[in-house]
Amino acid sequence: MFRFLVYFFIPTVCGTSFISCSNDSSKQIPHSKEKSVSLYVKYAKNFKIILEGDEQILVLFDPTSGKVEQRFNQSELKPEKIKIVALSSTHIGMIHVLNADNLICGVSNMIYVANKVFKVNFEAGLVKEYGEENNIPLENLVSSGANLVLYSGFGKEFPHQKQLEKLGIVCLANYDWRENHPLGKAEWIKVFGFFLGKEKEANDYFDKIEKEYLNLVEEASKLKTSKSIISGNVIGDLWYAPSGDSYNSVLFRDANIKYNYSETDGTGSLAIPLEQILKENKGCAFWINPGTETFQKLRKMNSKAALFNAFKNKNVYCYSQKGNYFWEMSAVEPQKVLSDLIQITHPDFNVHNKMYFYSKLNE
Amino acid sequence: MIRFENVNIGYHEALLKVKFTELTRGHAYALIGENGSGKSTFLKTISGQISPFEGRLLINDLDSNGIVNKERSRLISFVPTQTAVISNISVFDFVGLGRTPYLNALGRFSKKDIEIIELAMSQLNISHLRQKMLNELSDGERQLSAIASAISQETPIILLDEPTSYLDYRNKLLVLEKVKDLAKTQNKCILFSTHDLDMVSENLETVVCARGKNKQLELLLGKISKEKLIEVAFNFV
Amino acid sequence: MICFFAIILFAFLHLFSGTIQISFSDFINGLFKYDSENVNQIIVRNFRLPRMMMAIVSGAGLSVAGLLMQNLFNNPLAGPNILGISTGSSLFVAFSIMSGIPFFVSDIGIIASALIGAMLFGLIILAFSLFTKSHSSLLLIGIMIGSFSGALVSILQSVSDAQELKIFTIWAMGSLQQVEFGQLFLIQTIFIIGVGLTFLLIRAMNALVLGSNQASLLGINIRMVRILVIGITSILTGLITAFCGPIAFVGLAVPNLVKIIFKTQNHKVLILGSIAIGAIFMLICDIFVQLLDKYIHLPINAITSMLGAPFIVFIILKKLK
Repeated sequence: MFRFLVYFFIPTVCGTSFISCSNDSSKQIPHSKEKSVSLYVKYAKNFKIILEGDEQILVLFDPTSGKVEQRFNQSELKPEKIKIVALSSTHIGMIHVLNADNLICGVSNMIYVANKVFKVNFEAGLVKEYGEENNIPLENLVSSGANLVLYSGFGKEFPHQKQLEKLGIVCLANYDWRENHPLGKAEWIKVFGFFLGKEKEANDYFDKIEKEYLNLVEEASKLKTSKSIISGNVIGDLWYAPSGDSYNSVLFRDANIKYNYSETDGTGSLAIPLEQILKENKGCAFWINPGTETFQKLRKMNSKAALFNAFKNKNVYCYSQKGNYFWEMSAVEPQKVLSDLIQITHPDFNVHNKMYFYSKLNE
Repeated sequence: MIRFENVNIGYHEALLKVKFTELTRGHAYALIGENGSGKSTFLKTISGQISPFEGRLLINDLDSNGIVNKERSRLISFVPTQTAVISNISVFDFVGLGRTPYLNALGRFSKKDIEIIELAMSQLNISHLRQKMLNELSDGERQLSAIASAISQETPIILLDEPTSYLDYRNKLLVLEKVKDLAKTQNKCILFSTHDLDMVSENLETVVCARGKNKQLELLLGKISKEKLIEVAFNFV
Repeated sequence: MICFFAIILFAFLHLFSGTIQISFSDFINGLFKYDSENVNQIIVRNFRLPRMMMAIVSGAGLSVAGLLMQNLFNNPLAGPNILGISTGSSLFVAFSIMSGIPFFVSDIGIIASALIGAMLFGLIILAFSLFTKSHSSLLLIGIMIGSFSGALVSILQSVSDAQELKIFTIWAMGSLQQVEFGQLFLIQTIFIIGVGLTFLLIRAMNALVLGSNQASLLGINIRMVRILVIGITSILTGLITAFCGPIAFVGLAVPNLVKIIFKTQNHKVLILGSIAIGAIFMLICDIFVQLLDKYIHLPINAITSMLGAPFIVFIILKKLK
């Protein structure tokens, strides 16, 4: 019965799709032979907005292979009809910044949502939960009325992607989490601007935070380099700390923080044996991002935590007091993250005392 | 030593009936009977592995049902038909297992224990095998070791289930002689089942026959001819 | 005996191999005149020493448990895991990780769950053992229980989220490094109790070589022996699984190896041999892990099977010639 209804309404769905039915998924758009000009994307590596003739085209790249994964033509979008299922926290943050909260009709799991508008809408039945992105039954998505699904993309297509696209539902892999530069990550706001028809707002917003960010970098560079920090935590027998080119490491560098592994390669994590991590970092003054909210929990998670000076002196900081809020907003407000980090590690940093995301661990 | 009072032996129903019979120390009894007549069952009842389900079985004047394991192991030893081939054990250690009821929890052999083991082996002429591994022996040698083990257990009653099956003629005789000798000189009550009617009729004067007439156990004393044995055992009357 | 010197030798080697270079004096100080600011000494006391002791305890403990199981069931393929005791531990650990309750997800919580799981399953098997006289039946029941709890673990894994799955999977890989210095006393005490009780079973185990029927005729109280064997195995396996996670292979292979090397069924020798060879084996395996840590981190379970299996085959072939 349910399936019957769904398939009966395909033409209707198509009609309300924000992408015209004649071209699904835009993969059939021929590559223009005209010269394409890359527009205003400065830091992000996984997407580009190009101008082909008169058309603005959003191109998304697979971060691993660098190949083009999806292309979208601006002229074929109907932003006024858009309804979004956002399966990751960062999507929520960016949509919120563009004041498009009410366009969301679905999330992954409400316990990970901090956004108040969403909560209100959820209570009112306007927003539904759909679970882990790998496990959503096809019917649920189709019956949601959504025409855009945002997911994290792990190099694979979204489950049932082809069927969804035939029904006019676009599946967009959002690779902001694969960007290793904080501004590159924030720049994905422009992708949202593109889809929502709010390019100007997105560009203005980005320019503003880019300026704030770069100002902070400059201020920090004038301060004395901070005492060293240790980051990450133990999983099993190994300590995982950010690699030299990772998102966190870039932030540390920009905040003029001495981090022992900032010269290492890689954009992911380093796996370090326990003896070594202690030997090299016992004397660090600060411990940032242990992944938990209280000292007690940290001690339970990591039995050797108390051996580190940072722990002994209670200089351990994390964002987890505002966990969901952090995951939603930190991507699109990197300047606030940077400010927090500078403030934690530089006692001579002269600014208002508000910390946006980070706080010392509780007892 | 072993006294039966109106006992019915079997698993679920009476396989064998024993009215009033007593087996005494100082004697070696051969247990004969056709296959399925209950010989093994009979031995197992005495050794305590099966309970008689009617009547009283008294061992050393004690009710068999009331004897605890530990006591029983000092009264009765049992040599099964076949000894499993156990690897990595020397003949000495294997024979020494007969001393188990007398050892402490740590299993240590005292000097006396060692003497008894050596004596048991020499009585069966297997002392020269003491350091060999059990699985290197022939079937016959292994059987002799098992019997030596029972001897070292120093029990007044020894039960053997077809001990001579795998032995050559010389060893059959040896075992028979030893058994008779042990019974007499050490005042033991020995009961062994066998199919060797020739040997029995020529050498023994005490025979227990399972399943004579009416499923009854019969005790035959004195020199009995082979024909008579057959007659009684196989009911050819 | 030579073996005990060998243990000490390997223990030393183990202490010295690790990713950081540590001088001998630091060692002595780390153990006896502790200076809590000296990093090297901290490493000796908090990392090397617990790890070494855990290697000895787990190697020896699992080998003894394996010896007990193989003897009781008269089966060289029995190991401490055969009755489903360590699967029971895993099940409880999986439960507690999944529950999300902070206490249970902590180190201490996991240890407690593993212990409780092992004991509980030990009791279940014990209960069954009171109903069946036959050893092969009991063995089969144990295997079935193990399979059943294994299935439950799979179900738990499939409904858990990525984070929980990761924690459980890592736990299941086994690790000698999760032990703290302060826990060593407790671990050693329980270990010594478990192994000590085993010595009281020497007479019984020697007799059981003949099978339980014959052993019974030799005056052994089979029921009591079963209870003790299952009890000791639960304690030892539970203890080790609690602090190290499930460790494969050792309990199965070492007792067999000991019988081949020492060529005896006298369990006094076999127990001591199992302790020694088990401890040495684990120490060697962990030395490997330590040496390779700079390049790649291998879970201890992988090494025990990878190093152990070919070695055993080699020994068997050598002895057969």
